Amino acid sequence: MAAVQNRGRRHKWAIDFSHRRGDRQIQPTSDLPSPVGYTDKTVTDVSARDKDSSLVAKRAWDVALGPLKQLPMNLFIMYMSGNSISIFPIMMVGMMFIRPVQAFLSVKSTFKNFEGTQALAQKSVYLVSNLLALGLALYKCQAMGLLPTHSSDWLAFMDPQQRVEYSMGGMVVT
Amino acid sequence: MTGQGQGFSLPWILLTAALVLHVPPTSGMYEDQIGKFDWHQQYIGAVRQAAFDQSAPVSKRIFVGTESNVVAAINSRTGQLAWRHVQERGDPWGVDAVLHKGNVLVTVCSGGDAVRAWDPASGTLLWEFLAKEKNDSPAKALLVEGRQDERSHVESVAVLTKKTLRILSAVDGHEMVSTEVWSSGETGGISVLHQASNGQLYAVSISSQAAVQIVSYTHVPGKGYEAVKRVIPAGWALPQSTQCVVTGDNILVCSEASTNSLHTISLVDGSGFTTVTLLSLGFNSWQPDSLAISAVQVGRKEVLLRLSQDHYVLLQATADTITVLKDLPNVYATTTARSQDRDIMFMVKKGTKDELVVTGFYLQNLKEDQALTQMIAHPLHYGSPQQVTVYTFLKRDGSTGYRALLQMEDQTLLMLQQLQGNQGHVMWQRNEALASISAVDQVDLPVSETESKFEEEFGEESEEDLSIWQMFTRRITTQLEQLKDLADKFEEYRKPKAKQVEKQLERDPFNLRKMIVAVTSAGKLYGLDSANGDIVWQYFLPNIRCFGQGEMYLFVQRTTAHFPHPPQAMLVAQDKATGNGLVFTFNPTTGQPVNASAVSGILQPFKVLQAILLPVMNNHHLHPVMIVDSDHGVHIFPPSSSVLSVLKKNNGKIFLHAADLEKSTLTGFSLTTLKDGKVELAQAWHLSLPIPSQKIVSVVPRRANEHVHSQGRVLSDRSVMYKYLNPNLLAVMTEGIERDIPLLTLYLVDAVTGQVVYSMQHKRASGPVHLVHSENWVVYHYWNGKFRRHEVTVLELFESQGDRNSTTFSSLSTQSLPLVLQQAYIFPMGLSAMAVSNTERGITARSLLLALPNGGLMTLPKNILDPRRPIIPTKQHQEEGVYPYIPELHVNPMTLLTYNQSIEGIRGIHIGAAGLESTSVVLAYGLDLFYTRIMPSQMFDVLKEDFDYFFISSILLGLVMATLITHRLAAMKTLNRSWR
Amino acid sequence: MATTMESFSRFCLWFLVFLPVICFCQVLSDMDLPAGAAPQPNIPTLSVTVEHSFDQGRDQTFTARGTISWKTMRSTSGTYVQGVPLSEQDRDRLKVLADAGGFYRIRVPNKFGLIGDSTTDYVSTLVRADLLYNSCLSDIITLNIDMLGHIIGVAMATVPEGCEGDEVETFDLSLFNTTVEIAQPVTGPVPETQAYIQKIEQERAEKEKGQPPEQRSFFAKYWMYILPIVLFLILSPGQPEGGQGGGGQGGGGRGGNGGG
Repeated sequence: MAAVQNRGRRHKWAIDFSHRRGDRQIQPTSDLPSPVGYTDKTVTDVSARDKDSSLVAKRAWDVALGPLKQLPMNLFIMYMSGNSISIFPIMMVGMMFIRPVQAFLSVKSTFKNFEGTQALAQKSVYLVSNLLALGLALYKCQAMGLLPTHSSDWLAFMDPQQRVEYSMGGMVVT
Repeated sequence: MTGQGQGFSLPWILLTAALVLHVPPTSGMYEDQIGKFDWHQQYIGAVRQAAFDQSAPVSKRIFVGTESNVVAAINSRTGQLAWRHVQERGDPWGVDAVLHKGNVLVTVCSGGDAVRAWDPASGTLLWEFLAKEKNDSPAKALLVEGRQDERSHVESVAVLTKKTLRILSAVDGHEMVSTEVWSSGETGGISVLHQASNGQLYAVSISSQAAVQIVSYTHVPGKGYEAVKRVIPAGWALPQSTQCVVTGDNILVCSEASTNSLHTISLVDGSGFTTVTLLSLGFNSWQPDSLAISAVQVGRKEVLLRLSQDHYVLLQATADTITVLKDLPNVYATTTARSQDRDIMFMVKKGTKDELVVTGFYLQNLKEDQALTQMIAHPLHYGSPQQVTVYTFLKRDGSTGYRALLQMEDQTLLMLQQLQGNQGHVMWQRNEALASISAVDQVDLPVSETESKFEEEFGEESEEDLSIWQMFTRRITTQLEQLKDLADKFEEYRKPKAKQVEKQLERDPFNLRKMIVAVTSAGKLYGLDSANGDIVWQYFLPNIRCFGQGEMYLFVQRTTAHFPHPPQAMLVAQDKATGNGLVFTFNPTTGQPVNASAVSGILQPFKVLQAILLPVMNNHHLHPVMIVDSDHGVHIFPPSSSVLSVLKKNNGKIFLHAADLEKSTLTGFSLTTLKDGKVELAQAWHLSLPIPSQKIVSVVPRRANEHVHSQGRVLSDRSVMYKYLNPNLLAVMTEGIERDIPLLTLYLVDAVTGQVVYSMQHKRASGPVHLVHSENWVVYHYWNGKFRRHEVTVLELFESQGDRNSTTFSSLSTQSLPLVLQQAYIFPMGLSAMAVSNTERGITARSLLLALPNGGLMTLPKNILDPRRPIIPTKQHQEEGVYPYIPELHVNPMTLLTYNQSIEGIRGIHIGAAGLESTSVVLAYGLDLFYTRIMPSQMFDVLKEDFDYFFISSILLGLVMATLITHRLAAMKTLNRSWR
Repeated sequence: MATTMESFSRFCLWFLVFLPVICFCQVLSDMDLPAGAAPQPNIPTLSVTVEHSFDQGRDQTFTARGTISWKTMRSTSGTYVQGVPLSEQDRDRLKVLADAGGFYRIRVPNKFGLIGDSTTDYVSTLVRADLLYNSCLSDIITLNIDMLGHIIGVAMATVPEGCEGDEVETFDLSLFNTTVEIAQPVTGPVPETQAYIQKIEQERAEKEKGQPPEQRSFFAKYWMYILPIVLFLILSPGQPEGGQGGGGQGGGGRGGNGGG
């Protein structure tokens, strides 16, 4: 799918027999006449220019606030899934963890979208909301008892106590 | 609303029911698994009396009465038991008498308190007679014969105990006559019972007032027996050293060991004894304790006098003379048998070389018959013959043939048969010493040849003094050897029966096969292969015996793990003659003495108080054994400077405790190594328990080097109760009577400081107590006299502080007492032994092994005996996996390791850890031996036997194939679609 | 046979009659015990002498240290009275012992007050001398006694925070600051049959209580299942007709098949 998009940008249209080997793909020929109403040149909307910066900011705020907006839903799902340890709550907790972690991993590309004066605020809001999501996931883990916060969780790694004194003996014979 | 409530409670009920009905891991087995992992050997104990079967013309059986109070019939051709009855235990001498004539087989045991008649063929009990005299010496008994139609038949059974003479009907055992032997105020020592040829009965007793009392009983038809008593003064008679016998013509002959003289009198009309000294007969060398006199055969006039272990004299006695008929030197044992109307005396003699000779002579003319002689090799591990019983039969050629049952000094039974040309042949043997094991251990077998080479390569001695090139060549040769071994194995697999060479025992991959080293009270040592119970080696130490309470010390000083050094074990026992300590060191896998010059052990110049395996090793990986003598002096075997330096480093850290059952005290000592290399014991602590009310019956420490995997218990709120794992804790059980109320007291004592950590009392409870102490818990079984039932109590100890903050445990600096949880259960029956399972790392859940009095061996998971079992369970308890409390424990037949077999007289259970964590190997010993494996937490580390390898691998293979094919198909389909 | 049965039942009856009497006697004999043991409950009557030793090795000489006394047989604590203060010499010996890693031992006689037996044995214990030294002679002595007046064992623990300052001063080492505890065996557990039976009976009662709702009518029990079905049936109009029509069609189809 990604390949189609990439090629679609460079060429007018493309047929992709999505094969495992890319070299076998049939490349489109550009000497065909363009369909009616199609123009090669990009038409730029001049009127949108002045609104652009505010739109970008709005869009950036959307991105920044995205994780925060998901929190109530996550809370609801959390409530619904309960604290028992079974496959669905575990999957859910996994998802809750993966999303913020993914967001942190791709933080560089996301931050590219944040431009302008509000960039710093957007960045911090984005980070905080992701942290919140992570915190929520941790809280869920805690509620489910998956965090090794109790002494019992470390019991298996505990070494037996070494004896200092030795005692031996038993009954007296004869 | 109610509907909802119901919906809520229903799962609860189901859960509770599931918990209640939940059968914890059982060891139930399938029918085809019988005998696969277990074996069972039946024994009867040291034979006291033996008689060949006379009830059937073609006799095949031997009736025996043994020291273990067993009456049994042995098939004389195979040595198998035809039937066996274990009677009530308790007497050191076992069965008093085995009387057999014709169809009658009567046994007397418990000092005459139990007389039983058996059917010789089937072994069913015909009748029994029970009394409650509680005599402390064996009774005398004989079959009284009456005459009817000119044929003698057994009329009744006469039993002479220390107090009474009883005559019981041979038909149904009813008491025909019971008379007091002594008038009031008199007591007596040994006694003799004799029936004269005219039917008159004589009871001869030696009284403590230097007199011999002769009571004659005459049967008066219709009136019973008429007693006539005569008392004859006998100033020479001492009850403890006098033996008497009555000859066929009613002459009483007594031997007196302290004055070395013989005394005769006529039973019928004698009024005074005639005394003849042994010296006047020409004999003056004797061993004081072996002078014994015995009648040759019922009705014959000769008597046989034993001068020493291997010297007999055949005598003829009249009322006033004694004449020597035949001197029998170098004779171990004699017996008489009748063949073709001639009485033959058989004797077992020392041969010229290392062999035994059985030969016979006719009593009529005292002539030896060369045709009756047979010779067998005499291996040293049998000791000397003790007793012989002979059965004669007519051969086809009309000559006399015989079979001889020989009991050796090591309690082995040998059945001898004569072959051609005076050559003897051992038809079978029974190792009856195994019925009296007093110490046992299971030793790992040595590793296989290839593995040992491997060990050699990386062994300690070859570390630095080898060049790289040498090491390389060694590596290559080892690997070549391994390759060759593999090829050999493959060859063996291809042609299984091609070469059946007896291979040396070696360890299996899971270390399930062990060498059972058993030391018996007869002084015989056995090495048994745990796979099938076969005897691998045997060794006999004729001069040892058990210590006071019937124990011997067996220590494995070095296991097979230290390859270039052979394994080594040490036996500490008591010398028979002096009572001093005796130390015998041997290789437990071969039975060979380590010191070739000390084949019968090294006698020590002191009496042993205690012997302990020290927890330190010398530089040859040998654990030294410390023996404490009766003056609290310390002896270390083997003495070595490296041990002393290690001990010195641990000054004030090694403690010793000694429980004195007689004085009911418990004393602790600290071990100090002085500057001059002397090791000294200084009293550290002392506990004194009041004698009548609290007499120590058992002191149980935790098993040395016990592994405990889990250090605590997780509660439902995810907090931890840490186990109180004091390695120095002793469980001391006392039993006694306080103000006429039986009392049991349990003390948990720290063996370093003598601190009583916990003490608990059960009023109106009594023993026998069986106690198990492991990890942080103690379980014991006792009799509750108030409710008349058996009970089991469990104690679990936890640390009272919340958190554990030390990685070491020191009794000397620990201040806090543990938290003790306890609970009691009703157990439906008594026990004869109790033990706890033991695995290599302690990960597997523990299981108790209970030997039931009916011969079953039962497993009981420890988590059933959990003091935290609640009466009303809550959700928290369920989360923890604690069962709801039920006061009664059940004997579930599925948990019987012995399935439908009965293991008689279990006295102990020895548990060894296999190489597999899930598995323990169990040896139950007593009269019988039973060996099996247990998996208390099921076999979690091995694939199940019925695991379908073929199915699983074919499925896997199929899936891989399917993946490949569908991938190919999918690619083709995509291509086709693209071209469309 | 009948006579033996009769006599047996008579014996049982007799036994049942006298059982309470026997029990009562038993209780009485149990009750008079503490009274006999402590005739004057307010005055400390029971006491033993504590002796101590700084010797190591096989031969140990004990010297008097003080007296422990307690009030009654059922006391759980007692008082310690120091005899003479620790001498200079003893203090030095304790110091030497503490430095050498030796042991300090105490002993008490194994009988007290009530039993006037001439042959006295001692029960003893030991403690690390450095621990005692560093706690400025603050210790806890526990005596394990039984009801008859025997001392089974003695245990000693030190109080690590017994010193006031950081450094141990020699003048701290003249008097013992001793706490005395008296311990007796606790009564062992018995199987809790009574509680278990109660629980079973309670469960049975609950079950019985829970059973009457089971007797309700069919509709009362399953109204929550029946109601939706009924509602569904009511709210779906024309379904019966459609069903009839379907039936008719089916019949026709069959007829057609039969004809073909």
